[in-house]
Amino acid sequence: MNEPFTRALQSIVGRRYALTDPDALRSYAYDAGVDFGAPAAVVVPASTDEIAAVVRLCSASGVHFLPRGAGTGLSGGAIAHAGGVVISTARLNSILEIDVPNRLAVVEPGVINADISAAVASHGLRYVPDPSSMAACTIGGNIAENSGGLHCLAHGVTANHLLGAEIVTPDGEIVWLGGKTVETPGYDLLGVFIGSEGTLGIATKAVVRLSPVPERTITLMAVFNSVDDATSAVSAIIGAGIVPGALEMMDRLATQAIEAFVHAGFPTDAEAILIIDVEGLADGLDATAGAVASLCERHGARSTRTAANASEAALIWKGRKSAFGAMGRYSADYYVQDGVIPRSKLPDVLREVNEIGRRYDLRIANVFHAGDGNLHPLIMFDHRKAGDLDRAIAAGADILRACVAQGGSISGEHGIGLEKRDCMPLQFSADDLALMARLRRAFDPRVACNPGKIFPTSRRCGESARTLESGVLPAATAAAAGEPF
Amino acid sequence: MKNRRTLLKAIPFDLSLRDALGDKLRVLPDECAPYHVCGAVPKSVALPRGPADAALALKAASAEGAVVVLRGAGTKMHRPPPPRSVDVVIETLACKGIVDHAAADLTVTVNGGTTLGALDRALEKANQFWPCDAPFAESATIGGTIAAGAAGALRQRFGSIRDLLLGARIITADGAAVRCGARVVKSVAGYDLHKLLVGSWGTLGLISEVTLKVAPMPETERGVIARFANGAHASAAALAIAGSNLFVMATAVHDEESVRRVGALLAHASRDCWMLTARCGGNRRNVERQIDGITSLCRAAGAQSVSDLDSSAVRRAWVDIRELAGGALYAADRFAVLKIVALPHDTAKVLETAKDAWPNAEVTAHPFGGIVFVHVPLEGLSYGVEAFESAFDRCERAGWYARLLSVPDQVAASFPQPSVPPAPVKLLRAVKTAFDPGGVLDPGRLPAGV
Repeated sequence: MNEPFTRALQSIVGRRYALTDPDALRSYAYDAGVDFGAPAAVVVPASTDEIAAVVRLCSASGVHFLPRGAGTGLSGGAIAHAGGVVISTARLNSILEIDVPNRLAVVEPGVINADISAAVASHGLRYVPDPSSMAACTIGGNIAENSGGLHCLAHGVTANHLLGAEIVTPDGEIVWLGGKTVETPGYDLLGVFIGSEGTLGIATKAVVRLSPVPERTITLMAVFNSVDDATSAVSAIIGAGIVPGALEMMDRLATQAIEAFVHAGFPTDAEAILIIDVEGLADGLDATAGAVASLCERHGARSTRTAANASEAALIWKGRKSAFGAMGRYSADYYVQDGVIPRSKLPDVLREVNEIGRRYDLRIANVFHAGDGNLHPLIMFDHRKAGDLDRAIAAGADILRACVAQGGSISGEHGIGLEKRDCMPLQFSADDLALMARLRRAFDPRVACNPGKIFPTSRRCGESARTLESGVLPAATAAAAGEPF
Repeated sequence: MKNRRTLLKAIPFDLSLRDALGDKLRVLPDECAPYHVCGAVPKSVALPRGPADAALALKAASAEGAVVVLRGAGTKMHRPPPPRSVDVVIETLACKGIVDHAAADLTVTVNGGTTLGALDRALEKANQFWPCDAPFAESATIGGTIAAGAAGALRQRFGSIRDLLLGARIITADGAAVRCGARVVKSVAGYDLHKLLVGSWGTLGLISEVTLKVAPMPETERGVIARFANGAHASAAALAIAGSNLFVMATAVHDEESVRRVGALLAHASRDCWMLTARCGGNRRNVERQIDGITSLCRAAGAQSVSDLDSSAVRRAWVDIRELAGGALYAADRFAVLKIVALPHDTAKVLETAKDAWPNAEVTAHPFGGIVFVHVPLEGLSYGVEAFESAFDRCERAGWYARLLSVPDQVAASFPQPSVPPAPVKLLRAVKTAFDPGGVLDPGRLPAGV
């Protein structure tokens, strides 16, 4: 990073908020996934105007840049290429407005997901999307990734709960996409901005929809001796016309790790456990919960249990949400996949996941959003062992191939980022990707905003490429930064 | 675009289009007249037999720089302003059929030319429905409904069309078939290009196939009809319901005149009454509680009377109620149809403004979304241009987004247009160019001349 550029950054955000010291940069070099790459500089602006000024400076200097929230992403979306400037939203962390009559809130991008619900709880409202990282992740990051969560089965993902966003375009202009009303003139630019992984601009304000909190929630746990039984129970519940608030599944290995970690009372000899929330008005809810329990029993559940009170339910959910962290007891590292399949194909794909684990000699634990068909196989490896990570990545790619072969998607909620960009051709043709690339250039003609993400390079899906260390950008990656489409 | 002049000389239409479509091409003026766009008669009409034909037609037309207007069932062809000229209308009606109804996954994949009625009947077999009560329920196509962004009152519970659209295959102006999104309920792979189709009015590409989220039919349904002295009370009740944790499926508000258009509501109409209709679903006890809750919220908002509808009555009534929005029940040659979008709590003010500007207009509102449909009778020219201009002016000052959905063809060219609220015009244009670099697909008729 040359001196005049650094000084110009400092003059926009102040010396204290422009980081160029390698030690400081290192903590921005990774997210919660497996990729790595230190930025050339990190700025922590205090306002939309400062972000726009940084973007214009980068743009004029031919430097690429990208936004970063809490860095809890799992696909490398918030990791910089060599020479890039990370624009952190950490100081834009205020809830600007809560409009109870119109059921919306205006928040800055650095606001933590869970803080919105906490701020509006006294009005009987909540912000629905609840990724497992909700206590840390930011709304800006949620918008970039179109984050899901445990309760998106009934209520939808981030896109379903966002009305508008002020963004700084890759040209450094400040514009609104959508707004406070449900419709605004012209194309649904907000719709395509959500989930664009920080490649179409930087969200600087968000108008989020607030929803009434259900009167009552009943949490059930159903224990199965076989994964097939559990998955057929899932199909039966949906087939009966019941759409639970959440419908989660854990296999034996995941359950054992979680139980040792959280002591949530999960039976460690079960092959599969379903955790189900039914929610709504108190009236009639017991009948719905009863119907769910009997469907589970009819499909082979050896036991079903209804949480007796809120703290019991909270413990069960704490267990589920701790799944990723709990893997630490079993393995030095894990690599989590995020494929989606039609719910009805769950048994076939789970068998294939297990087969892939055997083939690569890796242990794979499964926790997933069964209701959505969104798998999260946790592939265990040890980065200190030569070749272990490469095998984990290759196994992950095979799982994605299996998902696409069943008509599914390579990512349900974690995004493509660096991690899965070379797997995009599994799901999309050259024509599909070409139109996406044209769309990208409509927002970002110079491909300066978070380059190198989403679009495939010349490598194959599953080939290892996690060497984005500052200054040693691999040639193929450098080419990809220009997105050849 | 530069080639457009040469095309006009080349009537009968370009040979490549003829090659592509054979006897599915219409070029005679009397054959083309029924396919007019807001009064503008196309020079030819292509009736592709399927997506492959449609792609060939688009490619051929676009190679000539022709202006193409896409058409489904033609239920919404009166949207001003009229195009300056139309070379080809491509009708998608034959590109129909259910591709895959994955009932266990609550998704359905259909061709864009399938009608809403045909989709409903296919889903009904599995006791499911597409929870989008768009108008023209029997005749409109899925593709056209998405392109028009014509969501109905069910958006209260199930979200708008954007929320129900999981993936699509688009045929772009150059004839390429492009997939986006996925066939599963959740996917974040790549850009969600399909979201751009909602409200795109056929200007980005032909919606050849879509995957939609569907919902199970509720175990039981009930409805409520409540009468109020004015629109403000009815809207307040609707918003109280929307803000409660009753989670009803839909609520709508209608003035007396529109109520009289609907057979199912006629018996409940009375002079100077405004009506709230609500639809709820769930299990029996749940629905009973919803009815109780709605009833007491309506009474608290000043309802003069509240009565309820049983399961079959509410489903029957909703067949009519959904048609009250968006002009479906109003003769296109006699009414101007407006859609005004405001903050939910401005609904009452929008209703008041509309009734003040056009006292005999008929209005239906979806207060949950702050959406008001105004149907203005134009017979005998009861309202001059000034009435519209001053109403549009009031919308603009209040920050409401007003749009004309339909006006009589004979006055379409000169009809006053509401001003467009601030919009990211540069990005809107760039997106149009990314999809349609030649400006072939109905250019210039979206807000800000996109």
